Amino acid sequence: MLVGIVARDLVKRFPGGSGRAVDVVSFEIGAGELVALLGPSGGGKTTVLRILAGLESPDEGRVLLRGVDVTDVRVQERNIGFVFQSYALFRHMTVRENVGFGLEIRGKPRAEVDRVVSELLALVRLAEFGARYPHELSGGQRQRVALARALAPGPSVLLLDEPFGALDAKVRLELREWLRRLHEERAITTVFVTHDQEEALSVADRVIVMNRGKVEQIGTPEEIYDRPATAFVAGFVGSINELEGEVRGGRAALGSLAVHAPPGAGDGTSVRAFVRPHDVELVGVTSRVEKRSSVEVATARVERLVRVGWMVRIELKLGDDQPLTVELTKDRVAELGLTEGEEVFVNLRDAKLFVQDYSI
Amino acid sequence: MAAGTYLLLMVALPVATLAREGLSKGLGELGRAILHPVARAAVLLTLETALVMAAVNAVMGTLIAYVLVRYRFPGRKLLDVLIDLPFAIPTLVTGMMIVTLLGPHAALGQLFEAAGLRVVYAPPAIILALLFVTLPLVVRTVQPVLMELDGADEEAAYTLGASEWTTFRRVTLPAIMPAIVSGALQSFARALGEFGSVVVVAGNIPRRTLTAAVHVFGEVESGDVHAASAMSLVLVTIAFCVVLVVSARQRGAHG
Repeated sequence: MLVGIVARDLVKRFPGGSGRAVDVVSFEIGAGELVALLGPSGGGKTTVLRILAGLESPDEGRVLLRGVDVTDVRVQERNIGFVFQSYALFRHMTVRENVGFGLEIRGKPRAEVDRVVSELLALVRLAEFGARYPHELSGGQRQRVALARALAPGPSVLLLDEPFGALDAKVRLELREWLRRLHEERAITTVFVTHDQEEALSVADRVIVMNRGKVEQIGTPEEIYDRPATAFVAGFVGSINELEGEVRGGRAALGSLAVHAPPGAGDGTSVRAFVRPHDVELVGVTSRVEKRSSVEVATARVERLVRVGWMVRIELKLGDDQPLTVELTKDRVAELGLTEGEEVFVNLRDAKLFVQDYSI
Repeated sequence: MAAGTYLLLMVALPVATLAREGLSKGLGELGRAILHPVARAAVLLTLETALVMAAVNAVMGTLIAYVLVRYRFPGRKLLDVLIDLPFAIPTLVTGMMIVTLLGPHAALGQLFEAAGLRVVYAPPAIILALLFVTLPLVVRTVQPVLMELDGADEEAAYTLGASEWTTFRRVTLPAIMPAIVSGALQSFARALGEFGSVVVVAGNIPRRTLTAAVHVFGEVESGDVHAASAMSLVLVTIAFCVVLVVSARQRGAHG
């Protein structure tokens, strides 16, 4: 695999900031890959992106683009395309002028600028909007202009900072899909920053999860989702249930529930378990089903039922007062005859267990 | 309603009275009063000094605003406060300061004199005084627009390969140009009527260093109300036109 981007031991401190915004970050991105930098806000992911672009210089570490060390190369000469969260379109220029800017300042002939601009406007499906000004466009259209503008000079790397952050849900989905397709067509090395785990997992080839300036895990969406390397990743990606417990008799006791203990964890080791809403099995209402013989089956009280479209989020309280959230289809809820205040049997199908911060 | 009445009493009524006084001897007399060599020279001097001041102000005010918004350095807050000081200082005091600094008895003034440049009691001192009293106008109109640009536009231009200078010329300047022009026009309008500082530094020699505002004062003092009104009408007309242009531009920018 050809290497598109290398980040080597990047460190960045900001004056007045506490500690390191970026704390020894390293990763490699293959040429033509589509990678998400995922993490909570303030996790350092935007700073890493800006360091790759050359908009920020690292205090320590090196940046390589296509095998060339560009750490000391100015942003203008790095041949990158950057899409800002706020779009940063030039408001006094038309859409065409915005898209053509990068070519025009390079002194490209008028005809070539026109040809490339038309081609890109067609690509972002804004061909008939060329004469408009940015303020005459919707958010999604502006974002597409920003993308076309970044692509126009033919960058070797495309960097996007929270590209869909300011858009409403429907446009977001459309643009995600579109970015994915654009990437398939052009195969340009692309890194985008997002705090939305669903966006990262559904769009990217690989995901770099960052928290507090450090890389938590690098992997394919499947790896990140199925085998979270750290408690943080498990909590951030997909899980909303976090249970505390300890190992007793070879099993991890989580209040009234229990699952297999992490290997090598002796009795008395305290563990944290991350449980995805769909990994909780709701066996049934206590008054209507026989309790299964299995030791894992515990009782819980239904605190609240929240319908979200065709899914229902069920907020439970376990015997030891730990909350547990389950998601079921509304048909299944009807089938079980769930109502608030009732007692139910629950079981855990799966849980990601961590002893302190070590993976199982 | 109350606001309308207030405006009528405070602005329209005095202006109308002024117009009536100026026209009381007919259009011919008004023309003669305005075209009188002393009056004409005064108007020309006023326009010239105000124009030079507005041009310098546009450049320096933009530079100050840019530095204040884009750079972080010790003393920035103090500098930011300092900008408004000229508005708080009585203009007569401004005039005094310039004379004390550059007058014939001051060391700096003698230095310029030796170099063959007369500052005080000459047009340069008028321009200096005007620059001082109108300093905040361009800075304060450009500053908020620059802040709104928040640097992302400039960074976007850099990532597209534009140098700092190209970025300033092609991205930053066009965005703040309306504010620069508005600020410069406002300072121009303000300078037309500046009296306190000018009367101290100019020397007020008719046809050479007598400005329109000082000329009006002189005519009032010597009892020629008609001549004073005529000159005042000229000043009001120019100022009114400038205000019209500024407000038309602002409406255009928001429309």
